[in-house]
Amino acid sequence: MTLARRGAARGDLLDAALRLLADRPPSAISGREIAEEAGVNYGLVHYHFGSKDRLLDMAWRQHLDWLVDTEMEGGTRPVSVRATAEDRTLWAVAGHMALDPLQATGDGDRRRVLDAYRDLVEASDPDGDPVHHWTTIAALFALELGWPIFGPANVTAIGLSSAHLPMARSRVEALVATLESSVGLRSGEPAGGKGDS
Amino acid sequence: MTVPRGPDEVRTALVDAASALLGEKPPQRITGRELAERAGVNYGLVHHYFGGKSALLSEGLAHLAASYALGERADGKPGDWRPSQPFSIRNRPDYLRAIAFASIAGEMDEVSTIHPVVEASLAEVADRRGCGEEPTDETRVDVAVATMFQLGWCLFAEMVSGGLELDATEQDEVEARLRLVLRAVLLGLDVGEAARGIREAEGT
Repeated sequence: MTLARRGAARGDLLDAALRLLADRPPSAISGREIAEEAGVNYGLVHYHFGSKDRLLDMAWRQHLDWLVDTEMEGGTRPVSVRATAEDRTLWAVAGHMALDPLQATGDGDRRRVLDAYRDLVEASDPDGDPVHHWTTIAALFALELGWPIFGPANVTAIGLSSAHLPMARSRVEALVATLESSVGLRSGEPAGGKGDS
Repeated sequence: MTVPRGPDEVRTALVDAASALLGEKPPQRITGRELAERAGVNYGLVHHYFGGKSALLSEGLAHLAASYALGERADGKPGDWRPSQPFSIRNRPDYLRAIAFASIAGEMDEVSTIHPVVEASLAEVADRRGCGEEPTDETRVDVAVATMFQLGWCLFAEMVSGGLELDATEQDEVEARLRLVLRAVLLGLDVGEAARGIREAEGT
């Protein structure tokens, strides 16, 4: 095998690991399955990453880096409800990671999105109350990740049809906008829950 | 473990096995053989009593939902919490995990049922918002969003609190504020004010 091919195998393994993490939690994924999904030799999992868990962890962190760099424009704006909802990989993998956390592998930073949020909020509301800041970040995560995972089934379970999904999503977007503006952040639309109307 | 005998014991053993496995892995990864093995019964009985794996998994989820609605602990004994309390699903991580796995897999519709306190919550919220007995679509949407918010927070609380490096006291402070935020979502109040710790009056 050439060095170039080995390099490509590394990227293929990271992509394959992320695809499998969207399907199931880390504990239900073996190194052989990742190699098979990537179409590369099993030995390369250890050659490039040392262990299966470290490969899964790196795949996840790489996706979070990508999110901060693109959606958050380097950490200068919050993630939109639309972006999270449309990125199945993001919410499915986040859900599986929350259900079945990987042991920390000690290298790199898995908290990049949370760190970016904290910096963003502290910069836009420098004299604010820390509990207000943490609560806002916590509520934004619960709403933006909770919506794609739990939203659709909850809307139909309460006696509404799937035709009401856009109405529910607008409500989530309004809540997110109100929370963001309470710490001085501005996303797409002006703040204001329907309580003000 | 004694071998389950007779229709009632076999059914119960299989539903218990389904409830347990649903909290361990996504529904599409659970096999009929695994269910039978966990229940300690013959594989053929899954089909005999339930017609197949997915019907049995639905029963398992319905069983968890009913048990949660009764305020039971995972072992079936009475819990020291009520399902109507904010974020009460945290007391039943087995049910939360089962809902989360099924929802991520997009099988929550087929695997049916959801948050059994939603109906009760709906009636109470409609009453407090003064819109009478029949909740409006708007009220229904708010209750659905509030339910989703509770599930979302309970699933991601550890990840978020850990990432923000909050100590136990700080976590409690955030949790108290989030209860205010939840109330604001349910009653159509300003969630930003709630996050600041301001408890707005109802019906303003």
